[in-house]
Amino acid sequence: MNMAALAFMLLTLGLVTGMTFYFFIKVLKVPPKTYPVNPGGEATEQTGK
Amino acid sequence: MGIKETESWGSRMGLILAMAGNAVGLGNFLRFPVQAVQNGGGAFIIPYLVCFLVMGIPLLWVEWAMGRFGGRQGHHSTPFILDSMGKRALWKYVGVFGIWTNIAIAAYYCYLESWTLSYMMHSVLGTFHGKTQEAIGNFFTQYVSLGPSAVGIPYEPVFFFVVCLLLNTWILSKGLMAGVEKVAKVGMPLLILFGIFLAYKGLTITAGEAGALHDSSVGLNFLWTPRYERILSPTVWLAAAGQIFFTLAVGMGTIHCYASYMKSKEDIALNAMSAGWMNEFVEVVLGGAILIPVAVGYLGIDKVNELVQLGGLGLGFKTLPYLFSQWGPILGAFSSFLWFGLLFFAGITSSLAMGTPWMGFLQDEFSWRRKPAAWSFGVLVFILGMPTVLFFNYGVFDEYDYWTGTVALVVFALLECLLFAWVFGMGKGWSEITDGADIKVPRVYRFIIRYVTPALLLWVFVGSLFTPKGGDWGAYLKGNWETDNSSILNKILNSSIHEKIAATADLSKIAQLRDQLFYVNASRFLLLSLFVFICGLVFVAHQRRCTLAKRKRMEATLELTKV
Repeated sequence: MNMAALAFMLLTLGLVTGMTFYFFIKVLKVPPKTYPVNPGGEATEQTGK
Repeated sequence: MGIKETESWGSRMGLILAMAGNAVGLGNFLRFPVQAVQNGGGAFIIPYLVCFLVMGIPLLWVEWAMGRFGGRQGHHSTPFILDSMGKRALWKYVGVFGIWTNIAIAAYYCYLESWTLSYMMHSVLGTFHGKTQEAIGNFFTQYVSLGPSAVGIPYEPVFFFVVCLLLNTWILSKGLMAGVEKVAKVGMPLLILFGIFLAYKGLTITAGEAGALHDSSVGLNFLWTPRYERILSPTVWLAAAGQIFFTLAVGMGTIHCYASYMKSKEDIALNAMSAGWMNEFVEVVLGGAILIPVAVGYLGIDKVNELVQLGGLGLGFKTLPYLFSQWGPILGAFSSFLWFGLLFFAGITSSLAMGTPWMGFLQDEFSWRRKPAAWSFGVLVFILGMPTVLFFNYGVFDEYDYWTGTVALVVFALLECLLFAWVFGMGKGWSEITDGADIKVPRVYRFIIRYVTPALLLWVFVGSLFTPKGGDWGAYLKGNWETDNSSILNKILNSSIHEKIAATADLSKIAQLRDQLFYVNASRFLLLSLFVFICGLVFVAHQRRCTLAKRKRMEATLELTKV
């Protein structure tokens, strides 16, 4: 491959892969939020059915 | 309507995968590489990433924020999400785009998706093995012309279209968590796995082996060598902005709908970034490593240059099955199956998203249950989609794609951006984006969302409306105002077809073009009728809301009088 194409490709692939993994890992690391629970024991507003 | 108990996402990962699945579509593998090759090679990445940063990410945040905001008030479709943000009656009719676009895109997209299903079957049955490239190309042409089936299924394209539609409807009827989310959790990892395998094969092609003409490096050079002189061309920037638009599925109303089922304090800033970058990974890293390297490796640059002019669909369906068959009967069939399987998963995760706004609308406004709402979507898509199946060769498919999959997205995104930043207000809008955020959103995006994104969207729209002949913007500066046949203006006037009619003396060709003109206008009428129909439903829903509110007020007054 020519140098310019190789440099462009590696830089782009590195950047996109890096950002994808960075945000994905950040999502995995963030602890889930707690929601107020009403007296019936169900989370308020929208609930998973 | 008050807050009521409704469906929601089962997990954060499910939501992100569903959102990424909504964005990842066939265009990631078929459109992006072709756009890159046609618009500067490696240099295309510069405007592409700039547009992603200043248009794609802001629009993702805006749509996620609008959706979550609407969901808090119990709205799950754009007409009443927009209505709750701008208090003018007009906004709910702007929101009709968010339902209309999805039904109309689903109508042709499900047909496209059904091709992948059919091609998966043909890959396994070995239909493509031992056939010449021309024979495989003819197979596709015969398929879309409803010619005789290779496996004896009568009206095979109609059969697979119905199967695909039934599958979509059935999954939608299962609900958000048990249907859409489950498919995303299975489909997205599989898609990435298939993509990695095919990308590996695409990057390890060696000249002389299995009939390959070139090493994969030749294809990569073709795709990635930067042609810097193209960066200054507005056409290239317009193409990059367009690609960002289609790839992220912004301006459709699906993101609003999915986000409206989030919990009220759930993060949107990080979720949107994660789903957005995942889509970029699939598009740039995987999408860039399959189509072009494989095609150039086996066909050479000249042939591929010729084929990219016909677009990614031709390469994906007419050429790749032939190239895979060069790898032998087993590996060829397996790779072909994976390729169409990958496209199928990319397609179905998007088409499922297209069903949810309509279902959300019927459930919210007319108290429909989930199943009838899902089946009504199936019926609507069937009615609207059949013309794309039956009259594909008359340009109905392309017509749907142009107006709903291209123009409507830009118009809706521009209007929603103006609503969010200027009517709802950037102060409130910014709070919506940052509320519950798990990452710090750079403050510069306040400025970008208010000024840069709408300006860019306006430019994309105006640029598409008056595209100069041959994309030569310099000609406009010199006073030559001739517009290209790809411009919206010329499309409305059917200039391309009229020019072809004027240029030929062949009576049968003229008759064929006149038929095409009829089908093109008829499909526009159909699309317009659907838009008016949904506007009517929104009007009725609004009247029902008013009546309900009036009744509640009267009941409250009566209570007070009694006291």
